[in-house]
Amino acid sequence: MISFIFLVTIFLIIIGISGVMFKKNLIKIVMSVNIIGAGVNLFLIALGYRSGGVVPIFTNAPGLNMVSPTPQALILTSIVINLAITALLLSLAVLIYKGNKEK
Amino acid sequence: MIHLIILIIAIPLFSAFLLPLIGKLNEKLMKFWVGLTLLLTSFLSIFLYKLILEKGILAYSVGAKFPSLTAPQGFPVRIILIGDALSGFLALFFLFIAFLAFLFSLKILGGYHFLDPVRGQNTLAKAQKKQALLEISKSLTRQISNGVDKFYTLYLLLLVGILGFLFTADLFTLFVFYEINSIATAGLIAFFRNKECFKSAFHYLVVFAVGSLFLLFGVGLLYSEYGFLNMAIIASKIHFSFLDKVALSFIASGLLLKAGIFPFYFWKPEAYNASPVPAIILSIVSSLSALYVLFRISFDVFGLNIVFGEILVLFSVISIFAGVFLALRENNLKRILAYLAISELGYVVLGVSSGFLMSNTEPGLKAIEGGLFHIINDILDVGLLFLIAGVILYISRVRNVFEIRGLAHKHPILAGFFLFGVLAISGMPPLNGFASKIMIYESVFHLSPVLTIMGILGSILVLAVLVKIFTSIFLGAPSEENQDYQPIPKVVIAIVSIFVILMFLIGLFPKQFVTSFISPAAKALISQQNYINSVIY
Amino acid sequence: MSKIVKIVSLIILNPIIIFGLYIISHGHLTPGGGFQGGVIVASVAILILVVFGNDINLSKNLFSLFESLGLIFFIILAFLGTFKNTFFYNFLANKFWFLGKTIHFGINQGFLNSGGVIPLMNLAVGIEVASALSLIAVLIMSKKKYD
Repeated sequence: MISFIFLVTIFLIIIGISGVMFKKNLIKIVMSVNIIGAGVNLFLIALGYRSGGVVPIFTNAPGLNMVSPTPQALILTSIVINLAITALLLSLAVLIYKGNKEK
Repeated sequence: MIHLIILIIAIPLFSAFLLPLIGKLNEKLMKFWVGLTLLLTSFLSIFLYKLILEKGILAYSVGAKFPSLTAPQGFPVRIILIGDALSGFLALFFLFIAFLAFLFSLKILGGYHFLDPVRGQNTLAKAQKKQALLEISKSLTRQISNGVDKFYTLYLLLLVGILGFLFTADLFTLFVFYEINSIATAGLIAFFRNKECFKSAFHYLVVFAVGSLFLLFGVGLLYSEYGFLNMAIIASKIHFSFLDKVALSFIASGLLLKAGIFPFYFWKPEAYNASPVPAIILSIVSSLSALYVLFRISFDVFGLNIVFGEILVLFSVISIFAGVFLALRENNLKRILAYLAISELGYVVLGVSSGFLMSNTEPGLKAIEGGLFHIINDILDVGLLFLIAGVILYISRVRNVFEIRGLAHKHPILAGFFLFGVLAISGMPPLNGFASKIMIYESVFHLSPVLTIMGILGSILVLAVLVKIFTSIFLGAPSEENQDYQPIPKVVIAIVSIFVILMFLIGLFPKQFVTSFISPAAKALISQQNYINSVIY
Repeated sequence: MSKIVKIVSLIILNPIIIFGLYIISHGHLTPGGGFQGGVIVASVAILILVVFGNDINLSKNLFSLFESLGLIFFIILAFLGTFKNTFFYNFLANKFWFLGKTIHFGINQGFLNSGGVIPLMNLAVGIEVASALSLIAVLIMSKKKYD
């Protein structure tokens, strides 16, 4: 049976995609894009898990059995990029709203 | 020296960061700075291409002298950039086109067609109309010139994204550059700040956010199976399990979305309609660089024995026809040209993917060469048509281009250039479209004659669409509003004529061009072992 | 907003900035780093905008200037190692004059003096992210007409 966390990932991605496709409110579309981003990031972090591992930081670590740090670097970049996209989408949504209000 | 690969990417990035500060000081200094950067980067790319032709594939690792220097245990997790004959040549050509588009953007930003309230009022006298047009144009120029430094920053960032696509050897840097491209293009689409542009930019960015997340999902699947992100190392370890095929489909859909091939072309008409003309040319270049990455992944990472090629051939044929048939219903010049750009990209994919299917045979290599050659011709032809569309919109400022009649009487040079563009894009002999299309037709015939017939039909229909536009805009008796049109700046005619001269040169001497530039590129694309050996030795 | 909210927000501004700077500067030792600390410092600007609204004018030019300075600092640090070794080379590590104390591999209690170029890059990214997000917040919440 597939591990539980990958099912959660797929569930989040499906919710996000259905939100992007079927919703008409611009803010809800932006939120759905964020949900897809959260799902993909969760998938990437879950790939690095080693059972019984701790945070991969050497400062005051309880032991040397650590989870893999490479996916954590990947999702850091991904979160930053998704933040930039969300900021740009929200400013475009505000500008569309102001344009609609003016009429 | 070997640092050239990273300098080509880093120098435009550095000048893009400095540009807001310089833009606040002085506008002319900013334009000079952008031009200097582009010129310097083009020269560096010439040296890089010469170095690649001498030494073969260059691999450059960021952060250490060799890719294998690493932490005490484990494999190199270094970011590596690889330049080979294909990416070196494409970088050279794309930088040249970007420089020409920048020179075009100094005078014309193309596309005042959304704002034209004067034309609706019939009761104004002619002099009043002219005065009102002049005032609108002055206020528009003021509005646009207040945002011009942001235009050049976004322009340089898009160029950085394109060059990063060309030199990446790492699946994660691929994702990062994909995002840089999407965000920069979305900024450029929303450049003319009216509501339709904002809606187009929102739509574009939502589509590409979802697409890039799919690409990241595919990359994550590949990482979960092999533990490495470097393309050469995955190529040496790959065994085609089911998970690999799923990962390939995710990555390919992300890249096909950026390229604009059959199921994923719906964002192109609105995006190209709303953005300024130099940005459109860079968007076409970025679609082609995404196609380059797709070919690189399918040839060099996944190898030559997969069913993927047949799907790509099917998609390319459908997109050739879809581009042409959907262009017949449109009324807006930029939208029609966007659909034709989709159609031409279909030819590129048709050529290279049939070469993929007929690998290791003589027609297969010729098909790949034809497809790669068609990249060059596609940019030249479609770029020329878009530039002329930008000029027409600049001088006339109409909303619907088909109200113009008889432009050839006042601007015969422009009409001539447009005619050359029409002939080139539909594949008429002395121009460059013929050379690449005949290579594609001849070699695809060995795969299946039906594909050749479809290709020829597509070209004929493209000619039909464009002849309709040409006769309605340029031929006929000139309408009375033609006298109010602004004159074309001389620099713009010079730039457009450079495109035409290149088209003629490539069309008249195709054999020299192909053997000196395209054949090493095609050979570098198919040799998977060379690619792997440059990183692992 | 009421007077209590305004006074408390003015009091709590400074610890938030200090906390953000702590996370930026200890990026090579503890979880965090440039981006995370920068977002925390940017939340101060959002706090001021939400509480005070139209009474305070946060200057856009200052944020834009600091954003460009952060970016330029980052890429100059990347260029500095280029011609001796490669791009982004960590030229301050293991040299022990500014930030390059050599640390043995394994569990330690965290020395601030290590890491080479990394804390400086964290600082550059922190400045840039803080100013950029504050600038975005100021622009979205501005009451100017459709421009």
